[in-house]
Amino acid sequence: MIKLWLTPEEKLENQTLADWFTPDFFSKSAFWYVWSSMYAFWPDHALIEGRRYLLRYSEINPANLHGILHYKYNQYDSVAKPIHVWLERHGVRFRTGTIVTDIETADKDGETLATGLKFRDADGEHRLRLTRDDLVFFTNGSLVQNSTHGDTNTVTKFDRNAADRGCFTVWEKMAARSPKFGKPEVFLSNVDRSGWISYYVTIKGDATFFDYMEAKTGNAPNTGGLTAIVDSPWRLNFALFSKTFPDQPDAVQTLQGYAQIMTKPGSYIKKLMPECTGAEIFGELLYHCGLDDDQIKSIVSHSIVHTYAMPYIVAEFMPRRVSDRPKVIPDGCVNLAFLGQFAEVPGEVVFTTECSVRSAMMAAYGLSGLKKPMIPLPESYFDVRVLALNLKIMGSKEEFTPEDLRALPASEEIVPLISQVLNSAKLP
Amino acid sequence: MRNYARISAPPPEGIERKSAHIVGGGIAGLAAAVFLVDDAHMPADRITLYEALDVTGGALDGAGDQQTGYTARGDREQHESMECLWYLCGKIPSLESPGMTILDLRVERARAHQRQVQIDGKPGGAVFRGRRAHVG
Repeated sequence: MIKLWLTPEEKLENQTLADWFTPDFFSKSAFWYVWSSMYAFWPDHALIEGRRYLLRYSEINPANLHGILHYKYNQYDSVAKPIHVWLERHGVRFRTGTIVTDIETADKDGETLATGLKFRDADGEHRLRLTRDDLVFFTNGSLVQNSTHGDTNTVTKFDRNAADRGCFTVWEKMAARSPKFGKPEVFLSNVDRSGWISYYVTIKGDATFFDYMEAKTGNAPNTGGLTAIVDSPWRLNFALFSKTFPDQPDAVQTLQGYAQIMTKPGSYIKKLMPECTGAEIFGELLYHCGLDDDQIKSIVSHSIVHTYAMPYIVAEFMPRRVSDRPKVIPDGCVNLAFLGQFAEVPGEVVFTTECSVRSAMMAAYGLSGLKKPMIPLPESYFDVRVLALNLKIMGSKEEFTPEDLRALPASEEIVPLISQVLNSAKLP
Repeated sequence: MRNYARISAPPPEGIERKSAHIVGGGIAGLAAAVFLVDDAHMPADRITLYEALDVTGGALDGAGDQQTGYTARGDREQHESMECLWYLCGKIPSLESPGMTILDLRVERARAHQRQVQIDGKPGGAVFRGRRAHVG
């Protein structure tokens, strides 16, 4: 773990977590259970991302996860909708139902210029000619691209159509024309690894499950975050909510979750998760929580389940090189920026809203010429107090003894890394 | 010093004749539009956002009602160190609480408590053990 902290990410390219850690780390350590369920990591995910998470959130003590914040309602009503309304009131023009099919670029005198925007709407195909005063901000990937929907009584199938995948397809076209736009195929070629199914349950008029969980855990709904069921073959996760929609009556309860393993049969429902209806998926969850057959049948009969198969939900975690994602503003680009989970934001971690917003800030300030410094990345790993705390957690120690400290730098591997870090130290 | 430069950033030269084409209506595109309007002083009517679906928000979704069931494809957890996100949220008024921003309405859930709960399982980890031991 310490070696990973000290090794620069350029030396970790294309590796997975399983390449670095021993099998015991994944099967026995409490650290891994908490960490993987909190951040949705899996052993075959990118080591570069794992290291970034360790550093970026080094101040979060896994034994005491204070500071985890939620919105009052679901993330659409709490965040996306108010921003949309604010923008509309200011006069920003929204063209919904409009599919951008290509962004054309031209290289000249060492500069790269976005020269055309092709899109399709209800009126047909269009091409907009762009000048250098037309700034293009392109989100070149979406975690929910090509997601499909099932419900209580239907099964949702993964959409594996690689020819038409929206923003990814536009990115693929651009990347085929220039290496500085990255390598989408690194992230998009294995739906079995990058996809999972999530479920959302609405329970009406049956408080059995929530009452049962409250009695068992001592927690009221909405006071806990996403929780992993370690013994579920699907590796089910769930979170109970009390009220997540503004118009939701108090007697209507909601819960949400997902599973990480799509290739093993369940314990109660002896099928793979992708073969199951929403009712079956919810039944499997209730079984693992300890409810009996009659209770499960009754609770499910009072529930509406929505399921989503998302083929690219963890595509951003696929093992990669740093250059496989385009820079937010690729070298030489004067009016083109890449945003979101598949743009390279140095030091920042994927699968977070923060990553998207930070990329947007870099792009907006950079292309507009605004001389406003970025909000710096928190670099808490330079804080000796944070380092001390992490060393204690990793070593499961209350206190360091002189022997412990001598044992640390004695390692033949660590010493050269420490000297490398010390010698390359520079102020931001 | 950094903070002074953040507080006193004048409009970039020529911003009034520039236009923005934002491709994708997820949180990244929405945030870019806010930063262009509010920080970079780009006239809002020179910004166009293109979105394939009929609704913006991307992965930040949430829909439904009690008849058809509420729904969302996922839920993100936030941390106080997500400073770009909070900077953005501090600019946006709440739709239901006048005088409040969406930053004011975030809530902290006492997650640490639940993490340490064990059900039918061995002590030690801070995760939920199901009713059956699946692996040894």
